[in-house]
Amino acid sequence: MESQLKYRKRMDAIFKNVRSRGYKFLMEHESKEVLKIYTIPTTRERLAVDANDAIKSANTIGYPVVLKICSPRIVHKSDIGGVIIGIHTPKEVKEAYRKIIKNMSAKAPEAKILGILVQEEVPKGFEVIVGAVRDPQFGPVVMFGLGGVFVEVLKDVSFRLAPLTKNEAFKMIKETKGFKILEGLRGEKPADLNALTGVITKVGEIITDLPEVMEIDINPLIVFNKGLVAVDARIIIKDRL
Amino acid sequence: MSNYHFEQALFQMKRLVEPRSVAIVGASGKIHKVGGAITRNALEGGYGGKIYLVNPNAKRIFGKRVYPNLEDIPNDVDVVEIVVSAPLVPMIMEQAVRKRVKGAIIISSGFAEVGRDELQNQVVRIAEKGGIRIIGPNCFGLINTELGLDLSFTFSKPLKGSIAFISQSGALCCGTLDWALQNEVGFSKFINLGNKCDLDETDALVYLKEDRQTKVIAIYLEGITDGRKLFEAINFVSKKKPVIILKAGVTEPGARAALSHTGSIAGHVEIVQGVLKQAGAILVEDVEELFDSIQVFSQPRSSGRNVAIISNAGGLAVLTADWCHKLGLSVPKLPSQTIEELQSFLPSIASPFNPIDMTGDADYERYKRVLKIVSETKAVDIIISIFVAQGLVTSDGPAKAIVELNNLSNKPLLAYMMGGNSVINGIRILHYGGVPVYSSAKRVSRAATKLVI
Repeated sequence: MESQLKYRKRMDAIFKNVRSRGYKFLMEHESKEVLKIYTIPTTRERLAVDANDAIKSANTIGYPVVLKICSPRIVHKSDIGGVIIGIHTPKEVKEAYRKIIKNMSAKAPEAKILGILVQEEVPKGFEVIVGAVRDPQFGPVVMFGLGGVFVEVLKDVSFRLAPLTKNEAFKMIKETKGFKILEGLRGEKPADLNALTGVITKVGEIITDLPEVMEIDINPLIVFNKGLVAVDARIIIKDRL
Repeated sequence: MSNYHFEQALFQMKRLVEPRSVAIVGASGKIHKVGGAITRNALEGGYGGKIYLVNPNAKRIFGKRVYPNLEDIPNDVDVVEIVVSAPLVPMIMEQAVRKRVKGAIIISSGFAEVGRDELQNQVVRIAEKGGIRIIGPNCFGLINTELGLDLSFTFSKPLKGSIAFISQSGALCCGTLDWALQNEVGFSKFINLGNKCDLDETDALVYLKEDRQTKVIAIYLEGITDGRKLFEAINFVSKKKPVIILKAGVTEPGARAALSHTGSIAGHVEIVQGVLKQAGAILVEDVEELFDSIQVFSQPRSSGRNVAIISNAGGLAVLTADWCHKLGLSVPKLPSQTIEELQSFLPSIASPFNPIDMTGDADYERYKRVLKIVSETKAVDIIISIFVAQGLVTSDGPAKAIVELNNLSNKPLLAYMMGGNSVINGIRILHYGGVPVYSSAKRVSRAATKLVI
């Protein structure tokens, strides 16, 4: 109970901070803090404020790393050169840092930059998306789909009311055409469906527990044969309560 | 259903659908007008309760006494059916309150559906004051075949049966009734909800769950007023009776601000489908599929997906196997013991695997024997039996064999009869024998999927 109160206070502080910035979505690292409170595994990462700070962070996290722009104005980070992957050395960190800053001043000069997120690079796995929205008719609803073209082109997704059971979350996964891929094609090892149903139910809990949350988006969530990790996340909150 | 007065809704719905007395305000002798058609249907239905006709401008209608005013009726009235022009409805409702009527079916249109929300709200406020529950306005009425009570204005008088139909659209009710008559499909209750100013699908579902005459519930749904409430009602009812839903895909008014992926993908239709499935509803996409699904529930539900296909033609058997596979059913190879048993008497050119081709001269005896063996095979959950007229055997024999197995076996059994005039007889035998029969590989396979839990 005491820890719950502590978490609640921490989340209130995040929401307050976001509103004070005048925006209604949490930054990637803030969104992940909420996920962590709900025991959803997230990438190891640190917000760096200059190139040397980024190198220090990368050394602590371990290579390879990814650098991502962190600005409340920028929603689609990679569209404007705000993400660089496959960084293996401190020298590459420095170059990548400068390149992102340069890209930003060219393509989004008005954007306020809070820093650059240095993040562990996650090994290959199954790329999925888990999200939630507050529907005007049904209230909190969770979504599951396979990442990439499955979501963008084929709209191969399924929905359920939140909160939901792990069993119902499993049915959601099974309902998508992408399920066969998660089971492992041509001798490939299957995705950790137990961990995945866990994340789906937890996302359902977040949107049920927190009335200020309007949308949640974990995209991508990388699912391994054992375990998984949220690589990018976004939480959108109400303007005011 | 936390804020929902379940017992109260059940009691009030029961009084509306099973009244002891009904007053028709706006009764008429002109059968080509709504008031006249309703009066005719109500009087001709064979209803055992009291029907009172109200119209200040008539003395007698169809030889029956007419009261000038609702309040002139000397006895109690459970339900008032209102067929007057919309602006007069509040006045009639005031009378109904004084008369202590329990429920109102408002046929009249000209309310929220044409933007007159205030008039509709006025009616609701009067009803609340007197504790009257409302079906409608802007609806086609209701039918209770068990009581012979027809408060609709349709041409077609439905047969008694076990299917309840709830619809937001009156026209769809009329079309469904007409189809059902031609196909000899019977109904228990027909409830058209219209504008749903008070009672909605949730209340109808709660009532139908307890209604002993109803075994299957079919719903045509347009708008949803309270999604959570509807979800809980379906969830509650579908555990006891199949709930089939045809949802008209109304696109979401007003685009959602799409800051997240989920937000941009979460269209109204996808969410509704997910939620209804979660509640345990059986979703259909078209009226034809709705009718096909209604009929399949004469069969028990299945927890397995393994289908055995038994046919007198190889081509149709393979076509059906393809559809089963495409729709997520499986057509497994039969156990070697079953295959050997079939091989012992089938002609050498027959195929004893699955799908089973018994060849074109398969008659009553062969259908019967193969059906029995297959139905006793543990590996089989659902049986689809196919017949196509090929000039060697008439359709009655195979149909009889299928019906006989249906009476013996507790496995779901569906039939597919291909052809025209030469299968009419077989189709009739199957229909009266309680075996759902379809006219294409796709339709029979799709109907089979509805049985799988």
